[in-house]
Amino acid sequence: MSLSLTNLRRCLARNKTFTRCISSSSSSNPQNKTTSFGFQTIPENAKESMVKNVFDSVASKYDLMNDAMSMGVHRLWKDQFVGDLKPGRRGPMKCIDVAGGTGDIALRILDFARENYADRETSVEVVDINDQMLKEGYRRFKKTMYHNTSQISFHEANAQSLPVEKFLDNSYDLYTIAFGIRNVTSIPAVLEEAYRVLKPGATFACLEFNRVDNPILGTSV
Amino acid sequence: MRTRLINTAPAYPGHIPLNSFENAFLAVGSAVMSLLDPYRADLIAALGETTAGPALPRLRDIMLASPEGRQILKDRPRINTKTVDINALGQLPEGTWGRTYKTWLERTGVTPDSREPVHYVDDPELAYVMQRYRECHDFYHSICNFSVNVESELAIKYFEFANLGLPLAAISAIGGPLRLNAKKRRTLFSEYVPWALKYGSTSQCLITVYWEKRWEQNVEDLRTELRIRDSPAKWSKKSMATVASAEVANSADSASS
Repeated sequence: MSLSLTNLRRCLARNKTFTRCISSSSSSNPQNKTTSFGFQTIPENAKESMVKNVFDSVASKYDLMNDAMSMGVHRLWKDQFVGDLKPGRRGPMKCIDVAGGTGDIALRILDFARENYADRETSVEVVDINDQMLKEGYRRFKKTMYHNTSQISFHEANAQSLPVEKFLDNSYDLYTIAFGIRNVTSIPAVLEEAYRVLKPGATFACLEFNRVDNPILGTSV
Repeated sequence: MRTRLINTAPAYPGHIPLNSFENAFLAVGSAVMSLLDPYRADLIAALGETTAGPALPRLRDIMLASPEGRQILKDRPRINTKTVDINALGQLPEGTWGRTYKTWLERTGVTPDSREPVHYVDDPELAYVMQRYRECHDFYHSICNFSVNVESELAIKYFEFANLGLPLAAISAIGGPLRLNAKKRRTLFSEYVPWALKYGSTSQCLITVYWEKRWEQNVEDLRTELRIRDSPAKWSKKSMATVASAEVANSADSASS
């Protein structure tokens, strides 16, 4: 058990090519590249479909699931995240919220800019690989004042390879990815795309879980 | 915002986290003490850090908006005798920025090593911006061709306030002249301050200049690029003599090497 964990750590440490993996057959076979999926280790090319299955099945109840798993605290994390970024402080921004599915972060960005800076020009493009999650986000936004405005739009795309015609180089002021970067197959590809679409000097913001130092809070259930 | 979290772990080497009461107390204390003893550079540094407030994020945004500033934030270069080869600067041709700076160091007897590290700024990137400002302070003296006597320091503080907007510059500009005699105060306010305010506000924001990459650039070209002209500064005869003897030493060095 500990031997495979060491191997996994060494595999994940090399970004693009894995030379030594858990199975002992030839290392250039893509079947042998592995990645993490929660507490499991799975073949790399299986991750995308496994993630899709998970999100297809929970899309309609995603927010309820978040509330249940974090006892409502996820709202505080997202409030703090957007509060630290202060969108709209230096004028209207063009934002892209990746893996943004149901639009939690997008809504907070637009509300923050509107309430604190009277900004109705900031726009957010919500990008997600899963169309069910995007539908859910579109439905939620119908309850807000941003529906049918140019401030919000939903796009189905893969964060690892955003279409170049729609997501131009050097065009966004803010790129956010909240609780999404763990679901991608290749983090370096996502970072490359983020670097491509962001303007020089713009902001990349990632909200994600991490190890907690406090021993009581840090034990995983 | 950050006031909700009580984090006492240091964010960078030398960081001393303060809560708002400690911050205010240190600000007032260091303001009073540095007025009584202006040679306490560490207190002036503390005053600058505790009163910086929104000025540092504003400077960081200005740096992010310029390609040169972004490079500085990426590289985070430091200026001390270990990172800058002062002797090599002395070998550069007359009229280059590097040579001008070396000459200025000789005339004033200042060393780039005396800068206090930043302690009281919480964010590491903003702490670097403050550190960069402190280490470039001598460059501002040199590029404006001012000496280091009290009225020149105050002139540079007025320049910095107009150019960078740091509250410390304003505090020094207001408190400093109280220590001058009438004649020096007259020179300061009739000649230096109008020049400093005019050129400080119209010149390029100096925090974005990557000075270490411009050593070979002609200093007059650099001044034109930054829009700094016609410095009114006067240098004493004693400092000119220091330059003459230093230049003899420099040419002796290069002749023997």
